[in-house]
Amino acid sequence: MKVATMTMRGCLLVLASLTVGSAGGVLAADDINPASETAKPTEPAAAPEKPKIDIRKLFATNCSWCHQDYGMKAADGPKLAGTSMTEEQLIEQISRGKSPMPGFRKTLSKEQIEALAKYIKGLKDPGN
Amino acid sequence: MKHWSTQLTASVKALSVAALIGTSSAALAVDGNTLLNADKDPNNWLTYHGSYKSWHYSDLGQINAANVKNLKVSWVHTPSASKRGVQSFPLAVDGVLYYTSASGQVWALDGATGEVKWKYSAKLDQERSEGTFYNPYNRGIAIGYGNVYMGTTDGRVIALDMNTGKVVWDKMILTVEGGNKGFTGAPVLVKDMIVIGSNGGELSGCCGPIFAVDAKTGEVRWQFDTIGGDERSRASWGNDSWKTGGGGGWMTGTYDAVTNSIWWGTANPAPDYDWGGDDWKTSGARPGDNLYSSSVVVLNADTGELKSWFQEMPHDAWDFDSAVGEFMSIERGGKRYMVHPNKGGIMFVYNADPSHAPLKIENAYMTGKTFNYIKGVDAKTGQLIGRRELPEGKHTNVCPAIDGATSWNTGAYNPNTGLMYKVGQEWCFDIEVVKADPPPAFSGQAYFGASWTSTHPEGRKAFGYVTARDPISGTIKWEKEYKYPPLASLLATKGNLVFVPGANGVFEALDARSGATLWSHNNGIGHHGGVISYTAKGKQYVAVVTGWGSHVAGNYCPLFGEPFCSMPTDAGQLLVFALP
Ligand code: HEC
Repeated sequence: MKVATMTMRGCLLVLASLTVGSAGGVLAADDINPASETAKPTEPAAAPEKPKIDIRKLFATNCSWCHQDYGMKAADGPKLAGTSMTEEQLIEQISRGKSPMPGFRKTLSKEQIEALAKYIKGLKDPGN
Repeated sequence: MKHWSTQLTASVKALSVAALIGTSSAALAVDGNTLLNADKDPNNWLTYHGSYKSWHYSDLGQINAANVKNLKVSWVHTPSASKRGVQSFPLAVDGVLYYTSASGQVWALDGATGEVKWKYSAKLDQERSEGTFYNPYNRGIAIGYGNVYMGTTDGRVIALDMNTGKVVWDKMILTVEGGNKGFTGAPVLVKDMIVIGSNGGELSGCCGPIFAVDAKTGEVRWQFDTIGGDERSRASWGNDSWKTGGGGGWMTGTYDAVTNSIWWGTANPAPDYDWGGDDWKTSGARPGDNLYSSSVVVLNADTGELKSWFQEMPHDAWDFDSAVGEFMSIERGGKRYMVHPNKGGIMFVYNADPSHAPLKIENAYMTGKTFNYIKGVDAKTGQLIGRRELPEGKHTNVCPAIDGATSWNTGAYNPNTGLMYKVGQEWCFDIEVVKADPPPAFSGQAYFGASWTSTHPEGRKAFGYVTARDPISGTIKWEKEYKYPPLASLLATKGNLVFVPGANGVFEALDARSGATLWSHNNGIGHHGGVISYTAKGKQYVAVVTGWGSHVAGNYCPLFGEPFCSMPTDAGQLLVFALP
């Protein structure tokens, strides 16, 4: 599943079926673009209500091993605040990884990865 | 090949003959018996820890305190790009040097000239390897029965013909169903088996196995599960949490022929960190002691059955593995000891007799200085005193940081000075513990919940040191402070030298008796791997690997700035030194 080569919107549903969602933030039905309805294989177990993605928890349980202080400080992995990457590039990097960073396309949902990319893009570079 | 211990005297004789001949052209046939006496054969470096005694000591004295000032680079080998540096220990047999670089590359080089004899490059399942945090580390090899043995990050053990580099066998040992784990540590040859432990303390899933593999065929002889393998272990993980419990044995243990036992240190439990806090005995993510994580296990070498154990960190709340370091075998006053460091900065001195279960503590002392995760350790029982739990929420100034007061590389022991040389490191962190949801049982997915920032100890900058002490009593003879904590292994030699490969790239030789710096050379990039000595054509060489980048090394830029912020993390070399 090459996330980056597909258009983001269009592949949402395909990816949705791959959701493992072990780190919180279960996919909600109304996140899905109705235009792609036909491309949908099987619907994941419908979530009764839309749970919000807890971004700090998502980060702390997946990324903070190598990215310190929720992405604000450099360590084994670089500081993420102030990255020059576009949101799309961030999604690509988080999905596929870049050795020695593992890829998360199998363990995180598309929504979780997008939320992380948004979060990183929104971080203010502390300039350290 | 049944009576291993009775062959001991015979092979001692054989070896002393070999020693007389020196580096003769007659090839040394390394087998389980050869290794029993590796400490009496200074011309070769036959196993990760130098010998089963794990002294990291060379009985060569051509290079010594009087002439080390003349030591020069003899030759250099540059492997292909080595992500996160070269972290392995070279081995030397009959004047040929063997070592690995990242991603499972093996090199055989002429020990006198560096001329490449062969190279092998493992084809790895990249997806699986890259799924772990420990990619693409490779920390070394074992040699025996004409083969070089290497574990891979995708769970295989490979035997290569030591003369040609051709694959003799290549076996999947740790299947992916057992979790996305693999091997980064060096295997050790024991009798006619290769023993190797899996990584993955913070990867969900059981059972953190240690394997013994037939050296000739690659068949698994036995498997010991560091967690969940017996009733005692399962009972120490409430709510069946052993199924997501981590464990493993990612560094190289040793063999004690006197009791026919494997001694191995085990990894931390998952999750890092337990949000439960004070009530860890009955609640939280993994209620109970979590046996045999962060423990020492002693196994019957023939069967893998547990003979004894000691849990250094009951319910490890800090990620202070027992997998790090060496098992130094010391005999004194007719008594046999095993001296073993724990990442939390405690030296455990065990009685080497595993008929005590759990193991008998002869002494335990703190090697760390600025620690506050405990108040201390009971010297008689080895029990932790005054634990500081890390429940869900924020904690400031926790010392040492997750990186530990000692890292995975080894110390050294010189039998002539009677001193053990060991690196210590002092740093702290601010941490917020977050309640992680358990991944599926046996999944091998990362299982941790915390975000942190490395910090300095209160009132001073982070620092490191090399300490020379009596290994049994812990009494300090001398100590040398380092601005940047060294991360590499140490080498002690008969020439009264202690070689210290520094974090900033400076490689030093210290006087083993006083700690005075006698020689230094800038290797141009940090060290965090092995260092050995051997002979080729009758001449003594010292070989050290370089290269930077790892979970621990990653802290040096935020803590110390340059030269670490600009230090490459995809390079490394093997440098070999000799007298002119
Ligand atoms: C095992 C360590 C590790 C983990 C876990 C990890 N990363 Fe990384 N990350 C790295 C390393 C190392 C790099 C630098 C890779 C390179 O360019 O060589 C990196 C790079 C990145 C980059 C590129 C930054 C830039 O500006 O170049 C992003 C974005 C990123 N990581 C996000 C994440 C997120 C989000 C997570 C969690 C879902 C995560 N990482 C988990 C180690 C890790």
